[in-house]
Amino acid sequence: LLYTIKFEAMSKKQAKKHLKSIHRSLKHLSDLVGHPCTPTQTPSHFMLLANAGHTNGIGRADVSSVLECCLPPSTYKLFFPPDKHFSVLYVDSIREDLLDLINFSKVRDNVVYCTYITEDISLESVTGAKPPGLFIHHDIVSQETEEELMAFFLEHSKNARQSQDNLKNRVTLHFGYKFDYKTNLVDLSAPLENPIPDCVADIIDLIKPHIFMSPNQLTVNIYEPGQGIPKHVDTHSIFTSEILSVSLGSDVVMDFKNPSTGQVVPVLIPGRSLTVMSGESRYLWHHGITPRKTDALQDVTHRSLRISLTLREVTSEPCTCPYAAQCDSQNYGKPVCGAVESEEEAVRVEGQYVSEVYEQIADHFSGTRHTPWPGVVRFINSLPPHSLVLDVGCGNGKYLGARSDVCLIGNDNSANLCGICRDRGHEVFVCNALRIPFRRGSCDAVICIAMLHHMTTPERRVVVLQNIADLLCQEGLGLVTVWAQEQHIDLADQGAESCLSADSSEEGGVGRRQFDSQDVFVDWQLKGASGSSGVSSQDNNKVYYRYYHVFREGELADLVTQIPGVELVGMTYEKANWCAVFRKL
Amino acid sequence: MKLLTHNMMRSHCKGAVNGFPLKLNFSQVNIKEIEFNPDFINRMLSRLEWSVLVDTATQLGVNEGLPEMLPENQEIDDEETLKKIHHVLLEVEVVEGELECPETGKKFPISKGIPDMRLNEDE
Repeated sequence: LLYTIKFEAMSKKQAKKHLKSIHRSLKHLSDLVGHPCTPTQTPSHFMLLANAGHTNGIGRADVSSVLECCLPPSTYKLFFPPDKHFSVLYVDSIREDLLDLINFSKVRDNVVYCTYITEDISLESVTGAKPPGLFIHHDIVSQETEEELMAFFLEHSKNARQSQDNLKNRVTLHFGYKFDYKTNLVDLSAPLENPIPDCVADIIDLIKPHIFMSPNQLTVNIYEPGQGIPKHVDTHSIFTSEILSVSLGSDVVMDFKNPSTGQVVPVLIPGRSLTVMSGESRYLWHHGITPRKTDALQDVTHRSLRISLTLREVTSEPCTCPYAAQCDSQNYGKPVCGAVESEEEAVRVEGQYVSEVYEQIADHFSGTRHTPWPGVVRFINSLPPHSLVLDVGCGNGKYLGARSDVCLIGNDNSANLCGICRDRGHEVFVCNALRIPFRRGSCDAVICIAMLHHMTTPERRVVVLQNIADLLCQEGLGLVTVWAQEQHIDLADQGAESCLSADSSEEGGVGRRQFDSQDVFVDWQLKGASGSSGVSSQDNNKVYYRYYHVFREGELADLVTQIPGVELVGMTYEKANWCAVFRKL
Repeated sequence: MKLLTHNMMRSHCKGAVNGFPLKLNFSQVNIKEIEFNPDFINRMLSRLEWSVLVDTATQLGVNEGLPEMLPENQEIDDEETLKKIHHVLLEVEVVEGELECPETGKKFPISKGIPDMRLNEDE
């Protein structure tokens, strides 16, 4: 229900609210457009509508209803910045009365405050700037050509669909060279079984003016509404500097994420457009399509069938980009790490890059883990005598003998590491921290040292913390430590000490690491490797990669607050680790 | 695996409501001397499922006069009794055997004294 209330006289209170709201919105708008935006009484083309944004629950139709009394739809444009509590109105011709007509209108229980803006606003900035190097060319093919291409590939895909294991997944076809999604690599020596079809070769001719490279690989993806593709960066080492996508059929919103800053930018990809990803948007930003049936950017759009033609140029030259963390050429075959987005991927990454790795490196790993970290020992010593303590993710059992008048039992996901604990006379069992087979309330304390950062999603981290909380008896204490993203916070205190976490100091600490993003693979050079997995590094030692999610300040505390029935009693930063202590209420 | 650990363990299988106690099958048991601490034993008493401990000890043939029930206040003064409990809780180790979820029947092997409690995604 929409209704309009006009206030004849502005009360002092109203005036204050008006001013505050306007200035808050203007600050956000200034940030978006990159220059100050000044409120003014002088009528102009641009008007700010504070409290009339998406986060107020207000949509385009709601604001249009208010405007229709005074503005024909063709004479204005409305812009909703993503996730904001204001919108921006642009009018073709300046009107003196507009402010008074709209100011203090009530829209869906929100009072809208307006002001003219002095400066001209770049509307593209308002709707969200794009990652550098990203260009979208509209109407690259005609509707007729679009229909022909879609029909062609739908026909072509019939066989592919029949041989699919999981009908929920999108259909993918490859031409030119074969692309392997497991390794994210192309087999350069494989014969061209399916050359690029003529109908696409024609499109490539059309596109030439917009690009530098010559595509020789085509991947076709057919998306039903509800299907998507997880965020990824196209492998640096096998494709050249431009990645092209011709989008046919439905409009879709593609999300771009900067792995260094965490910034996410949604970009509308219209049907019949050509997207060119180059520079930062090709080499740094991850891109993906969320599997869902509707998108909401400037408006709510309902997806229909979409076919994307990804055109790339294959190369064997190593990549020399400036974004080493995303670059497999510069990381000697190291896999690129991104945030994990699905349960399936979580299980896969935790299996391949945590569990399996620790099984392979157990002995060598144990050999480097001998010094109990003072912070943990302090915690164990502070417990009442004869406490029962569980060490979740006990590794080689470094802490299981820390105190003779406390009963320490360990568990680890690695059978080999548990074997090492056993050899040392410790009581231990094998289990995954997501399913700990111990009775609720059985433990006086639980320690979880340098283990939680191997969980790939926030949800799974919360499950582990919840499990720990369940294990604790009333007044029981939990200690959880994780690697921090920021490595220098206490360096001033440490002086010349060069060790990193208790972990890496024993890895022959050469000083503190830099973590470009929160989701990383950390390599482990296995000496005297005999296992069959792992990737050979240059000097023929096996290299293994372990997944870590390194924590921002406040992130661990945030997770603990999501656990009911526990109280955070301590949060410290020690030697590049965040350490949380919490009590069961 | 010590009987203290067994007493604390419950099955985490999907569909298992209690999962306790885990059934124990054994083929090899060890006795390992552990330093006796009466205070620790007393402290543990309130946390134990006493009848399960007695049953399991009996099953393993190491029940040498454990009390059928604990006193109301769950404290024991008699040192001899405490030593018996200590022996059963901490000195008896199942080296080879298997644990079984009482509700789903899922079996967890015990090998070289280490129970493997890992579950697949669907279990």
